[in-house]
Amino acid sequence: MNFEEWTLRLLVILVLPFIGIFLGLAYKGFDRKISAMMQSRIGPPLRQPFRDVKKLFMKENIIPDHAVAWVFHGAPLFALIAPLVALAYLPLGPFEPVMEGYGDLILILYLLAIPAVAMAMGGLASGSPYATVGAQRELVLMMSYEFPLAIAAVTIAWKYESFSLAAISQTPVWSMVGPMGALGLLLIALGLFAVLPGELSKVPFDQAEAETELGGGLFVEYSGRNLGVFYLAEAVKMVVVGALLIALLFPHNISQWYSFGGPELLGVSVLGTVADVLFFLFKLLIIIYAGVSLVRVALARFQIDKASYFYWVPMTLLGLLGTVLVVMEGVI
Amino acid sequence: MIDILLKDMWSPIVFIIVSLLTALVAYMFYRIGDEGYKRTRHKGEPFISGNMPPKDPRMIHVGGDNVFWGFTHALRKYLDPLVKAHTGIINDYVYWMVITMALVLIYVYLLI
Repeated sequence: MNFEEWTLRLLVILVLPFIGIFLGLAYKGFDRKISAMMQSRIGPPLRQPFRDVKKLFMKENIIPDHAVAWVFHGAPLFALIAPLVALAYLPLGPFEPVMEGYGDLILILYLLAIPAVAMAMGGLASGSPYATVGAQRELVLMMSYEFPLAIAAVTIAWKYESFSLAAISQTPVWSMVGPMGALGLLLIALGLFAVLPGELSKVPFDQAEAETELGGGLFVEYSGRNLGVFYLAEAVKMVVVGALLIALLFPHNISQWYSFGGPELLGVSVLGTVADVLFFLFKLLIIIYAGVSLVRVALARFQIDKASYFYWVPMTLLGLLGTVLVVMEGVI
Repeated sequence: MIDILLKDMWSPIVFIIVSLLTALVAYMFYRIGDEGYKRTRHKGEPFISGNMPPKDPRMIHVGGDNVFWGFTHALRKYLDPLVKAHTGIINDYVYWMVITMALVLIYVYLLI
């Protein structure tokens, strides 16, 4: 065990949440701006999510009379901690996971499930009928999208014979398959993109919040800093899910194609690293645009049973077909 | 010597350390926010579209008797026959067991 290396790792762990929250809020701003532009609105400024959080943190933190206080307060914290922890196990652009070797894809999938469970717990603990219905919907949705997500993750991991995200992101999966496998991967990628709005509770899969029918659903009784922390959790989760998709499907870096000169730090080109980081942020923007902004502008909210059916039947079959194509390529 | 941090495995010790450090930062953010609220007469009441909540708190709650309605409704074509198969008659269950056993034995026979 190397003392200096571990000190550095733990320091990065302390800094990562700040980066995750900043990026999450920034991308939330982009999402809102892009959505507004697609609807011919001017939209809020990019820094609006930062202002929203600031304002929420200044507002009163009301606890409903019949709420289970400790669950009501604990839920937003758990919802924020889980995606922040996931950041430590994810490769971010040119950087390997901070905790590389100590956790893998399976751990990330479990960590991604925690915010949904925490939100449902908070909703059930708030003593409101709207929140209870929202919590029930959140649980149903979670049970629905986890299956196609697991199929996609396991298929990609099968190709590498490893669940290590560092190993998966080192060689793009597309370079390991032929035409038939590429078609299978394309289907799996489609499935993963379909999971994205469900995982982030965005339209058309925002049945748990459903402002127009449930008045905010899960969050109807939440206010002040508790709601603010849920807001942050949602923002960080967007970055985590986007980074996971990048690691699984598009781990390409610019420095793989073009060698940068200039000054070096620890044997790595500084310019190359900066270019890779910018490229990672760009990929994240494209994924959020394609998987969240575009979808939520184009579609209206599904009924909860239709959403469940969508994930369990068409998306699961799509994922399984993709898996068969990827596996069969190796056999034939 | 066995590495107590279980390198190249799922390491619970590392996970706990990472979770605690992250929780510390998350709690710091949480602490920035305003803690309480000024209590007034109606502030703690649940939101029921502006209606006055009933005095008995049990009347506010939605029962959890079908928590997974959306799920069971979406997959009813698959689940309904399964529910129907559960007749509660022991003979039916024994038939199912015998049929399953027969299928398993045929599979094992073919495999050998």
